Amino acid sequence: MKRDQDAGAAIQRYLRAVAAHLESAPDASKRELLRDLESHIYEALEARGAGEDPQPADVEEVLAGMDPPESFARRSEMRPRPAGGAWALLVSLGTVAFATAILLLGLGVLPFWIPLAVFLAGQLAALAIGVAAWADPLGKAAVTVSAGMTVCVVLVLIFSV
Amino acid sequence: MRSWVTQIRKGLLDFCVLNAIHARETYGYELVQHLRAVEQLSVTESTVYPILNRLREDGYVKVRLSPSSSGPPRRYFCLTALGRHRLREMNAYWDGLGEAIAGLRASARKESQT
Repeated sequence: MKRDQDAGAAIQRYLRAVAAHLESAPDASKRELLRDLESHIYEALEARGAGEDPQPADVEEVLAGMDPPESFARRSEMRPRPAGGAWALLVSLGTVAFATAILLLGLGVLPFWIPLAVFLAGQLAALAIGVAAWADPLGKAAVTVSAGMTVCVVLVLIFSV
Repeated sequence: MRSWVTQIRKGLLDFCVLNAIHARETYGYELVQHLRAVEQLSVTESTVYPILNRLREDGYVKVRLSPSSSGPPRRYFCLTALGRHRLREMNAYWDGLGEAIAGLRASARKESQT
């Protein structure tokens, strides 16, 4: 029993050391990685025929054959992903809705350039946020949507003048 | 040469992990051993598990838990429908690339002989 506890304690020590090197990783990613590693260790023990009653020496040998805890920190997959793409998309589509509302509600009252200015300012902001979050797939989508809509509106304006 | 190999390997790891899982549902330790057998990939736990984690977050891989007689539940990895679709695209691209490179090398050999 004591040996089991020693073996379990050594595994937990290794997992805690890995977790300590993953401080910047998102919680969910860290949790899943630690579960995967814990399973891996028990599967490795089972492959050695020591699954039922792991001895500290077995655990030590398995852990010694694994990567050191700090090596997980070097993996880019465990770093927080760039965010901002969703915001860019929200700003882009939000200002389209806002500009359309101003245009429709203010027909005949407000000058045409006001909704146009709201639209262009919103798309410029969305483009800036989207480019900053280019690594995020949503950032790329926002840039494409904003650029596409701006080009369309500018073309309509050119042909209607 | 080393940096070229590192770049190639980095680009191929997702592809290799997806193919290894596609062959059959597999658990982590088995997957690492399977990929370790490919010497040119030189993978370890700190390579495979973070990649698996990302593939799972992207919806290409899912985990099935199965009770184990010792320790925590065994975690089996398999591809989702999205993962299978992605792998089909990757395999098609790889096949096309392989043929194109073989063609380039064949014509280079022919020219060097003449």
